[in-house]
Amino acid sequence: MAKILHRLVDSSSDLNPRNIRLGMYAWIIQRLSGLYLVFFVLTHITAIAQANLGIVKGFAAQVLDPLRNPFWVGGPSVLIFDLAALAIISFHGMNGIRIVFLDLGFGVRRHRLAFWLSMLVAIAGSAFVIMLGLPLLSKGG
Amino acid sequence: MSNFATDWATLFRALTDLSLLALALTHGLNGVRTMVLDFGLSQRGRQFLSLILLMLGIVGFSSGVYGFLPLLFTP
Repeated sequence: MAKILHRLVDSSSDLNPRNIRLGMYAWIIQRLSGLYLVFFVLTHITAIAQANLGIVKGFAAQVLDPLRNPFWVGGPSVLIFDLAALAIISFHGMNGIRIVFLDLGFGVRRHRLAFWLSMLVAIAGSAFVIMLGLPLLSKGG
Repeated sequence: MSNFATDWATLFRALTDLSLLALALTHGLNGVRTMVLDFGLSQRGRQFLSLILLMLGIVGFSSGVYGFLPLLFTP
């Protein structure tokens, strides 16, 4: 433990935040988001399977009503978790595509620009998905 | 009631959904394997980890297929 702490504060260490730059942060966030997405996929499979099998009654009551209550007033809300999942998924996907391009030799010299371009695509894609999902939030939709 | 168009739509949906399920599980669990292996494991540990993750993937895919069945046989 002391060794790890020393590596975090040692100015020549790769783990010192001063020495962690954009690509390393992208790598760390890619791994953490991937770890989260494994749990997300497994719970997603379970939830969809239960809805299809009729184990969970009432798709609207279980999924749409909590979505329509974004601020947790008088009942549960899942909107914030869905938006967080959307952000994490789009980051992981677009950064992964950037990594594939890096492996193919594209954007190696302009990797910062490539990162921010991929983030732009991620934000645009998230906005598109939110736009598609908005009709679900209106009552009676 | 079924017809040519809905049968092919159902087949297309089954193929896309289940291949997406298999690919997502493989990608995710292989990613976990890569992350754990980066910390260093013995030969036996690596074999055990791979076996556990493979079994988790098979269970996840099986439950996904089982949950998909009602969509295939809805009249």
